[in-house]
Amino acid sequence: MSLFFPSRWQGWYRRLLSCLVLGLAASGVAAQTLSSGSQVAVDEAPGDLAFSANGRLLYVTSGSTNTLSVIDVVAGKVTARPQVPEVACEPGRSCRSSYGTDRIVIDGLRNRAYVTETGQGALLAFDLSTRAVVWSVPFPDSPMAIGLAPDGETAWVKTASEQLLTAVDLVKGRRLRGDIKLEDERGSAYDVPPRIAVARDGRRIYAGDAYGNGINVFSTSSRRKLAFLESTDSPFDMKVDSTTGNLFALYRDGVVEHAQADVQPSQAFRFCRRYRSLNMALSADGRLMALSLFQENKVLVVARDTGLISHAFSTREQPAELLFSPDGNLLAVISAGERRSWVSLLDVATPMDITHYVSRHGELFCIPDGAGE
Amino acid sequence: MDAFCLRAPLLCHRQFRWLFFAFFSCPFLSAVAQVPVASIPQVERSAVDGYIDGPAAAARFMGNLSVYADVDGSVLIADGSASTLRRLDRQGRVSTVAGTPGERGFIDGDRRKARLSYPAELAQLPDGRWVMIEARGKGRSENAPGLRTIDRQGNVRRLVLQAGTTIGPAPVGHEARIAAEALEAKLRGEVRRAPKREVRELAPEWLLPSPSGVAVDTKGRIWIADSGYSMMRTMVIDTQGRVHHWLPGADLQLREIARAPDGVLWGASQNALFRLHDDWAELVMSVEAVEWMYPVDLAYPVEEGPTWALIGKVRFIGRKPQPPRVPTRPSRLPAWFTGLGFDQQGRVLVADRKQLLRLEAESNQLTTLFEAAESEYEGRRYAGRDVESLAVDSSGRILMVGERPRAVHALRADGSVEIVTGGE
Repeated sequence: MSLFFPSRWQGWYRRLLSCLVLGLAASGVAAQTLSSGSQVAVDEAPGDLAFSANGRLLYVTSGSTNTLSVIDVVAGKVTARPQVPEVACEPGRSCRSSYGTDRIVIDGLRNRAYVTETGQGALLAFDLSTRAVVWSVPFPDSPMAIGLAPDGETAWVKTASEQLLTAVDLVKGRRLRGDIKLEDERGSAYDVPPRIAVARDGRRIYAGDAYGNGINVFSTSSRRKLAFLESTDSPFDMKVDSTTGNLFALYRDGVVEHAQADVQPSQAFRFCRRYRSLNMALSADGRLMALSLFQENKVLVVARDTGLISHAFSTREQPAELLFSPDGNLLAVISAGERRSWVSLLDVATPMDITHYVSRHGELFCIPDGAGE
Repeated sequence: MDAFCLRAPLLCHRQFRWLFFAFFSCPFLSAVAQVPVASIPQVERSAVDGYIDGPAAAARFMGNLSVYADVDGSVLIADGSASTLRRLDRQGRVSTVAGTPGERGFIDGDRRKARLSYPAELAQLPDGRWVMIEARGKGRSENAPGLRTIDRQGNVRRLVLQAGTTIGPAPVGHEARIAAEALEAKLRGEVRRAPKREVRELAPEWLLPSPSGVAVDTKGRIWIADSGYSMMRTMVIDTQGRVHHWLPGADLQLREIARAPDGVLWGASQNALFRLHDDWAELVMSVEAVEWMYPVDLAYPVEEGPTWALIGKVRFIGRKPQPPRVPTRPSRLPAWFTGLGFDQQGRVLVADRKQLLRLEAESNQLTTLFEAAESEYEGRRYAGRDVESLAVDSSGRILMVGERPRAVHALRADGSVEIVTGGE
């Protein structure tokens, strides 16, 4: 299609086509077409994303360029690309220059972003207004997972090879004494990313156990293991529901919800058929759950109370990390390809007619035979 | 044997070959004597089993055949599996035009030296030569087929091509017809390809990454349906050898192209027929594609994982259990046009899976001329074979390949078929 137009018209032409498709979708003519939402190009190798406290800005890390793409979600475009300064490689350490920023959490109170730097192995506090590194906490290996305590003063970090959960004082920028020692010394499994989640009250921390097949529950005060939630798998993703405090664990055959009180399974969402999903998001209002299906380039949103699909979207490339905006009206999804990487901004506030999609592809979650209702 | 024959062609001449064999096979003369001597000059057996030139009834092919009518009244048969091009002349004899059976290669030269590589699609140029699509890679589906020409003497030459431009604007009328899903696909992929970049990236070897259908128009230009860059596109090679992208934005997805007796070019996509003009395409008819999918729940059952272990122990949320869906096939599969031709009255013939159809000009409807029947063998039922190639010879017979893979059939008036040449 674009081959007819001079290159200087390409941008306009894409917009025109996007408007055409969106217009068709809005008019109901294109009921068979999945919406792709608003697509924002970001820097290569996006790793994670986080909303600002008011939800107007979205920060996306780029491991390749070591930048943060700051997206104005209302305008739907990148407004800034601050460079995250590189951390000097300490003598005697093997640092990987091809890796950069990866995980990110936002501290709205201090207007900071806490970013893991996987190349040199550090946790950085990045001031979002001055765009300067406030402090840097080195780690002997690449930090792969980060969990922020509810008080905003402590972060828990899991590195790639260390069998430790390390607490970091976010105020002073230093490691706290008393690491939580994970029992398995074999290191992380290659096919399961390390996942941690901090309980809503901050008193417990959940860590996926790739070898023990389950979830370890630790006390953040005593650093002791409280429980082991045995399963057949290690979770691909874990999220804590901000409304109930329940833990949601994503597995290869569905999602298990664990009650906050006793951390035992309270209810489950089982896939209707074989899906592949590594990433999950929960809306802050407790209404919605979203999963990225990376083999199908689709993102499905389900109503938590019914387990039925409410929205279905397609992405340009394989969808990965996804996150609801604080008000729950927007879903941001990373989709990274070989050449270009995108963040899709998906409207989940407007009801969507997904009749055609469901008739063709079926629901995401089905109550299995013998499970009752 | 063939290398020997190249060095000493006299000994391999068909008039003397039996002497040669007799000399080297003395201990087995008794066995040789059982071969009817009279058959030697009539039938040319190859060193490859199952490859025989000679009278149509006795000729044998190796398979993957496609048929083309020559203006001189003969029929060219591309024997894909043998990597040869053969001719069924008006006297009813099959002979090898180019290539050596079983010796595959992409080598230019005269009839003896040239090696062919799975010839599959042919079209005749105004000067009588044929342009031929072959596979250059390891397999027929290898993504590097090539174009060569072959003249009446069997000389095979590679086409020298160079990058050209695009032809024609996008036909607005057709654009409106494109389904929303196609638009979505465009947004995903095709929009990224700017015209300048496409022309710049077309190195000579990759001008036509995967040609699948070929025709020659009245101006001598070669039209090619090409599935380059994961998209079906139509390319036109002008008489100077420049390759142009025809209607690059039209997304016609042509798979077959053929020239009607009146000179008009026709194209067939998966389920639609078009008349092709210099700078626009006219949609003549389309068959509604019946959507059929194997129920996904049954095709990809969910694994037994952590949630499976919780069945009966916790509450599950989602779609309520439903009675198991049994996959049922519709009475007709979606259209899949695989061949395109014209009868002597100029009516369009199209092969659609196991059917041979004719487009009726008055009603613009398709009439079924032939449908491959199911067969039964040892109590099991087998679906009939797809119609893979079709042509109309000088006597008006509709020839096609499909019922048996190593034979060329002719359609009888009653809708049945008879073998013209070849066998099991």
